[in-house]
Amino acid sequence: MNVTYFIFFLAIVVGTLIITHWAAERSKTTHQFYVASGSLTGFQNGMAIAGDFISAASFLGIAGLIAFYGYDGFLYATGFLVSYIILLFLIAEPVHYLGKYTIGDVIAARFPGRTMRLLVAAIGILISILYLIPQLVASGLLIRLLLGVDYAASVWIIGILMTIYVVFGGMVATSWVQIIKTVLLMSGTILLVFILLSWINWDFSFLWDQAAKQSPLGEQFFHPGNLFDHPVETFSLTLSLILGTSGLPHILIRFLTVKNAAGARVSAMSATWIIGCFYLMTLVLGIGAVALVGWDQLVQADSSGNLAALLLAEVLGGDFLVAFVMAVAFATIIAVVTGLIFAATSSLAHDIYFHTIKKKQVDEKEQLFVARLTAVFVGFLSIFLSIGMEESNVAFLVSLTFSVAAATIFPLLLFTFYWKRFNRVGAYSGLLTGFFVSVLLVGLGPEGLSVLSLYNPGIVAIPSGFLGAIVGTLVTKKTSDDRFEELTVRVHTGIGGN
Amino acid sequence: MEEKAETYSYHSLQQDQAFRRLLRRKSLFRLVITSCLLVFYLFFPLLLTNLGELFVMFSWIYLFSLFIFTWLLGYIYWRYAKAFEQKVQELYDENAR
Repeated sequence: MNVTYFIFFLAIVVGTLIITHWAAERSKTTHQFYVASGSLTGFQNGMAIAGDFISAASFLGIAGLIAFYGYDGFLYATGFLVSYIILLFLIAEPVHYLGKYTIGDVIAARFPGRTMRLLVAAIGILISILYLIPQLVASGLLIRLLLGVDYAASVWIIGILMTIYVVFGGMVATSWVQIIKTVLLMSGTILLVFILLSWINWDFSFLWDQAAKQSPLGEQFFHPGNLFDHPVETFSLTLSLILGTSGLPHILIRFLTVKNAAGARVSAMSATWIIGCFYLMTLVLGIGAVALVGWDQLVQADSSGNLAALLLAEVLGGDFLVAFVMAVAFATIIAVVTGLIFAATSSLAHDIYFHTIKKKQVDEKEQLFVARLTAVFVGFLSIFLSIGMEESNVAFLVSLTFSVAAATIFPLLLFTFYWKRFNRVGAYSGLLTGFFVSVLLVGLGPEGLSVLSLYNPGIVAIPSGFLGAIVGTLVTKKTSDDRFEELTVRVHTGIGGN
Repeated sequence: MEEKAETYSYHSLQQDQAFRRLLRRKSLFRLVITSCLLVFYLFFPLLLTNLGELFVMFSWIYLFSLFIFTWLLGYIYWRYAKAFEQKVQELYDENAR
């Protein structure tokens, strides 16, 4: 085991556990546990959103994609960024105004009732778990590399850590782990970029020429079409990325942790600044990796390109810089998995246990106890699923998650907030159609039975989700919905509804 | 505004023509901006292939413009929503008087 790597790893574990201990003192009520009492400022929440959103797939994966595919790798990253405009313009404020602890609460403002809450919660939990598995699998592989322990032990380490953060620290610990991750990630990336640029004496043309020389793509490296040569696949992926963010429960519930709508807006806006700056830096790192490490070395180390940033760090700063970048990657993973496990926990404990099973007949102490117990259950479930999937290709689950989120939760939220005629039947049919079409297409696609050649189901599943909601609404009898008039005022101003 | 929201009925605002006008304008603003951005993001790359030698340069301009648009639109919306809230607050105060 490399001692430098171990010291960095230990520093992150100890630091985050101290935060959790501090947060545990501030998680004594359900309001504190679920939404940190709405105590975060807009900018703090923006940093937490960036920490929640930038996954290992972004940090390690996109640098690798750019190193391998040049332009197209960077194009992939822009989808994640632009999706925040949809979130800011259409979703963030209404979620803040209507929600209490979960997305189930947001939908219940227009469609109260246990069945609706149960369905929204179930799909939300599935989305979180689907996204959690590839993150945990990646984390297992990374810890194995970092500490030299085997895969299962690595997943246990990360799984237990994330469970501890959520069980003891609730949303306060989750938020601060994510904020610190963002600080580490941004400072680590800036450091790496500056070392790289000083290494090449700020001569961008050298970097450009060297990248073209090292890559087997040559000048084509800077042209579109190296990764996405099939327009239908490209369109499907970009559609899922741009709309999917607005349907991810772990991102949406972050808008409940600020005290007003201005805070929600600043959260989304500052997240775009952080995420945008981060992706611009990964462009430099990706080009730097192929230019300085070389294509052959990159492919030899890992054919998926996930080690590009680490190999670049080795060239630029040796063992110490590699240890630092690995520590950043480790912090990145724990922040994302903690956010995901928290989202699944809050839906299960608040929507399913408190509202559906117990019909709200539970005192504060028991609610909190069950929420913590649920976190343990979700944590262990994710660990077992991830250990069982070591040999599976789980990368497709990331795009599947975005596709399911864009085909189910996103249309539901959009129509709930803005379409007067939308009704309960439309909500059910939209959710179910979007979900089942996504699953069916993946089952028939290259990752399943290989009957279809479509990798990303978004191009069919997302319109199906919208269409299901529209048809379900239009085939049922038009009823007067006084609740919508009230909801419209609430969605835009927060006034009413109490 | 949110503190008052707990005690204030939404009916006065809902009936107010000025408020309805504000809402319509805000909805139109959001619809136009998000639709334009979606169309630009999803379909502009299809037009690039017709640019011949300028194809590569415009492809990179397109990518960087997405960053600029995202930041700029975020800022514009932040300003717009702040002004909207102020106007609603004024209407609210008038109604509450």
